[in-house]
Amino acid sequence: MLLNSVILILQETLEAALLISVLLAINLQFGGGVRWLILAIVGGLATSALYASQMSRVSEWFEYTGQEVTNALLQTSITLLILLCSWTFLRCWSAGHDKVAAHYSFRFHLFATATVLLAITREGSEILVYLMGFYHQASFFHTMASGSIIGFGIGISVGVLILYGLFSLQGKWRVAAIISILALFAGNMLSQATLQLIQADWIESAGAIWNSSSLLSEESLAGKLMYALLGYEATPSGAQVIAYCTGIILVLLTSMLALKMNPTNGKAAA
Amino acid sequence: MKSIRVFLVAVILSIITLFIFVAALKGYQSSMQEADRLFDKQLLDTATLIANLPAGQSVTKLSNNSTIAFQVWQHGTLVAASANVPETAIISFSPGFAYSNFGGYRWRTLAYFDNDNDHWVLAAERTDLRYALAENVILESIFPIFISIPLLGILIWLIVSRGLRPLQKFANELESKQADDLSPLTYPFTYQELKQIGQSSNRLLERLETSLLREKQFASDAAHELRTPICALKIQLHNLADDRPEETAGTRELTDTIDRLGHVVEQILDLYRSSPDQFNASFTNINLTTLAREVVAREYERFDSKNQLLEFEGEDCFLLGDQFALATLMQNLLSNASKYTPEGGQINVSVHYSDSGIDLVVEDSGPGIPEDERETVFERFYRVGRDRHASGEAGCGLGLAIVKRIVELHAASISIRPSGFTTGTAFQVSFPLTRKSVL
Amino acid sequence: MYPGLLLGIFSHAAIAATPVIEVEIRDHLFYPSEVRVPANTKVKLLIKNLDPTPEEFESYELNREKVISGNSKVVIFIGPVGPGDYPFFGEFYPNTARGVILVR
Repeated sequence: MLLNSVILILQETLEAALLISVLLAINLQFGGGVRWLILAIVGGLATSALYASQMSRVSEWFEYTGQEVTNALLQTSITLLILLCSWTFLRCWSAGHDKVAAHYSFRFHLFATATVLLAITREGSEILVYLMGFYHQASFFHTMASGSIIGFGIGISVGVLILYGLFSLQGKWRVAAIISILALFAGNMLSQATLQLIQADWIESAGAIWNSSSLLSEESLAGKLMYALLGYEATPSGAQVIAYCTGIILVLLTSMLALKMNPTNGKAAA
Repeated sequence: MKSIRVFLVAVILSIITLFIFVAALKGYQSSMQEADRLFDKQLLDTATLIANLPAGQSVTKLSNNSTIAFQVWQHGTLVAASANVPETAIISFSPGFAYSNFGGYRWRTLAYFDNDNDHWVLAAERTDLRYALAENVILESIFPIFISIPLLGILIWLIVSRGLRPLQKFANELESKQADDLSPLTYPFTYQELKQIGQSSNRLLERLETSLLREKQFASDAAHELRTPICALKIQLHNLADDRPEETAGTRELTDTIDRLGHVVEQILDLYRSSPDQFNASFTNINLTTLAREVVAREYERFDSKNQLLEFEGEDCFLLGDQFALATLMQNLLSNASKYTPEGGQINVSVHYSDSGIDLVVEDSGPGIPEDERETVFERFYRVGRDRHASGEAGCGLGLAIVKRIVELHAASISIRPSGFTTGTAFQVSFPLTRKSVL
Repeated sequence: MYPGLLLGIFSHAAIAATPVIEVEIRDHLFYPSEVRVPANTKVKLLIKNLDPTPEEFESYELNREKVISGNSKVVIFIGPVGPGDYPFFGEFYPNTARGVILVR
């Protein structure tokens, strides 16, 4: 029970923490405080509460596959927003002076807010459904509360360490790290969206193309961490692998384009 | 990274939380496995016990919500069972542990064939209760960790703050230093980490002081040395003019240039005299209005020659100050105003009490000073628009630097704003109201 | 972006032919807890949650995960997969809500 609470909370927290850490590291480039983040978190919690409370109604859409379609939509939107975030970030970084930063600052904050809001909407709703289900069951409350604390604790700690890790990197190394994480995150999101659509039977699945569960089981704690951070699947379908690569390539292409447009600084492609 | 303290606390606490929580999880996992093993052993004991009960005796006293259940099967018939099991076999007859759902619960089951009595014992224990029991025991041991994390957070915060305090003190000492105080820092640099920064700071201060001293000394010495030859030049020129009256145009220009040179030298000496370490303040109670009127009268000729209209108004304002320095201040402001105001322009001088003290305002109708230059005009040798100033006036750019020095010596402040005329500048010197000055 | 999307449109036409298997959740238990499914066939799993509390169907082996609100039902498509045992469980009540899909 405890382990399950931990894993359930940890998975969702870790994903959000990773995203927020990277966006905060980008925010360093723009400055201007973190009011947008507070707004995004509060807004995201509100929309996730709405989603959680309407979960059974949403489930009935599209012949009982509404959840999958909604999640896939959220995940695809997050991917697109990540592309926009990477673009504004690199445009600003390659220009390298404050006037451009001020010019892109509002746009970046807008995209970052939307990204975090949508991510929390999806992840928060699952946590909320879980917590609300247990709230009235005194016998499980202790276990669930302990599990949640451990899950949140580990998730937020990893987020803080990633954040300061990114802060401690200098110049183009930081940019390379940020873009790599964003690329993996986008790949993860597209892969998950594809899985949702397979589950809803919108995409035909040909079954798993490999099985690496003997190397790293999805059930192990390490497997769970890899799933949350990198979107690791022990038995992915072909469509998922293609989607994962598409996400990575899209972010890298966007980055290269953003850097190419300014010939003075095109050399430092991430 | 804005704060070393936040960085240290956040990272240390995160690492501690991560390690402790993961360790707690690992502990939980192995405890649960151990508990599982113990419960299985218990189930085996129960099964053995049931197997050895006298044959044919049906134990039905176990109630419906009992945590264990069993069946005894002999040659395909149910010979004994607890009340909470169905009529059919709860699991297949293959020896070992397994899981099964019946009676609305999930059970941990054991199939055990008793060779002596030639029958199967199927024993079961409810999984939910079994896990709940083990979990509650283990959770009790995890709880103190949750309380310890926030306490650790507070402790780490305090320790880090204590550790950073020498740095804070060091910063405070640097901060509280007067602008002209270049004496070495006295903070005891007993900490190894601060020793170096302290020593290098002191070396820097030392070098700075030496070079500043050299610069000041050089300027004042040079000015002093120049005074005598300039005086001699003037006399020689005067004699020359007397001897050759036909070359008046040439000599007048030369006279002007030498006068200007003399002026620059005097200004440099003024600046030197008004520097804090040279200034021998003889603060007396002064009526600023009377003094201003005197200076205006003295400078009147200058304005008259440019057809400039000079207006003065003021009430009697008393303050503690240095008479000579204040006169120099006003003279500089007035000559500045005259210089940069075109012919036929207007200059207003006023002295008034304000809410916070005494305001001396000199306004002109000149071209004004652009906003981004208003700070730099007080720097030495700075001239608005470089030397391409439209006024065509010569100057050395020291006047306002002297004004600023004198303003600072009187703990006053100076500000520049657009004048009340359509164009032009207003210099406002605000003297603070000391108790003694209100006489 | 999804190469399978076109295929997906075709697959909708085939929904009628997809076998439907019903599973119920009562008192945090799956009924039946053993589900038999033909190999290499796509199957529509119709899960009814009769409990007032939510549950989450989860199977690592099948890569499936879906929240089922209290007193509601959902559809999950699984397969086609090869023969084997594919365990599933309720992530919210993993001690009791367990089952296995036997693909033969």
